Amino acid sequence: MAEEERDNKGLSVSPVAGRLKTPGFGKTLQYAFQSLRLRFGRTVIATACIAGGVAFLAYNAFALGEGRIVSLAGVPAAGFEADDDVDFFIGLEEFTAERNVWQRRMVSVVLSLLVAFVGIANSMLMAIKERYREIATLKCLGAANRYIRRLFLMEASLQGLAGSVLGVGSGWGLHVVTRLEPAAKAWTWPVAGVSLALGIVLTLAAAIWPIRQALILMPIEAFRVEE
Amino acid sequence: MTTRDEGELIVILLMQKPLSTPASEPIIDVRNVTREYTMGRKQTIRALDGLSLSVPRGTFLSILGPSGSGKSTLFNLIGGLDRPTSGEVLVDGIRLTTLSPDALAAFRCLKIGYIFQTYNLIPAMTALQNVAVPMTFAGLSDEEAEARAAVLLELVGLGRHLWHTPDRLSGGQQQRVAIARALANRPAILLADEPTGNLDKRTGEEIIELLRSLRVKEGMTLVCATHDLKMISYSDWVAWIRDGRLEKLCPRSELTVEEGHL
Repeated sequence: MAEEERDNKGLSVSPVAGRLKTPGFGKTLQYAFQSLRLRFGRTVIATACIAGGVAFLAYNAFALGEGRIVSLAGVPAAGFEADDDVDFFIGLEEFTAERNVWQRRMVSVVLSLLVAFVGIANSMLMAIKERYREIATLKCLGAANRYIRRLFLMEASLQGLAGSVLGVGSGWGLHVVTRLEPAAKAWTWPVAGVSLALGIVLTLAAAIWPIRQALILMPIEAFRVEE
Repeated sequence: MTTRDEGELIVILLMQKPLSTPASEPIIDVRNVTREYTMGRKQTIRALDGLSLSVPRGTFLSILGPSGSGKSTLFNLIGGLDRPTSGEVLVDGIRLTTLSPDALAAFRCLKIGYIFQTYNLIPAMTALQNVAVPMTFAGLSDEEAEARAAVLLELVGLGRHLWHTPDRLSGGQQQRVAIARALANRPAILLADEPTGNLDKRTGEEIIELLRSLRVKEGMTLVCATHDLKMISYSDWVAWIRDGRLEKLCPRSELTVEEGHL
């Protein structure tokens, strides 16, 4: 009986979620940087993958933006300015053609968004799977799940940011090279900004699932995943 | 903010627990523990089959057994790395089976020092940072943690390798870093899983000597899964596990150690 009492006392220590301290932002950032630098090859490949996806996305998005600018400035206006029927019908035809182009470009953007996400998801999955042993070790040393999550999301955002900046840059480069009309070459901030943000968001979204998978495991299961 | 206060309270409770438990109480109390694994669709493997074991405070226990006997499973359950299918595991008066994941993390951080066969250092961190990690989790400031980490690395004979990352250290040196890291929060139990398994004979002996001297100095309980005869010859108690059951538990002095078998 006395033993049972002691057990219950032992229980009373632990019903609530005990929490340890998590290292501060600066320390975590330093660790994230060191990890990315250590696996330089892997980091370059993952970042290139993000950059490729975002470049494809940004290229299509710049084209879409240009389409909108051209259609706003030119074609629909031509319809209204028409002073005879023939001109009006030509304007309408052009308008429909322009709308078709716009739709096709929109489809390209959505498709490139999907392709970019699949590519990024694949590289983030591999990068995190590779580090289950490290996650298990951190758990053994007493890392709380929210610390591990913060660390890996930080690494993912750093990669996402670098990859997206490179991607938007090269997407813009391709856009400029492939467009002949000078008017189409205007740098559009909203397009660049949205592409950049999408790149980072896609990277984080791609990282969340493998991180979650690692966190629900007991340390010993996480050690075994790699073996 | 309230969650953090609550968390700190738990940490304090965990830390104060040994003061309230009498020294006579076993530090490890495994009661009728079963652990089953599901392999494939329907096949279950019973790694531990109703095993009970209690270890007195301050002893050096070696766990022996053929591979697949369940000794690693037992080791993992004591260290809070895994949960039993049924039964109870109490370490230092704390019932592990009911702890939440975060409380279990706190337990691992403060109560157990792990030493693995494969060292398991964090590759991106220097020796000093590796040893400091568990201390920062336990709430020490970076300066305090690194100062104590330097002392510990000096203690294991690596005073001149503080700034080296694991890839620049030999196997024996990596294991020394791992030992320093295991000692970081003055754990109640040092758990070593084949600590000399990946080392050559001489380096292995150096590691065993180091563990032995540290155990005497720090007065902690050492539980070691091993095949190493030298390691066994230093231990107080030897547990023999076979087919998930405790086949034999006896003081080392009752064993005659011969090359190859017991």
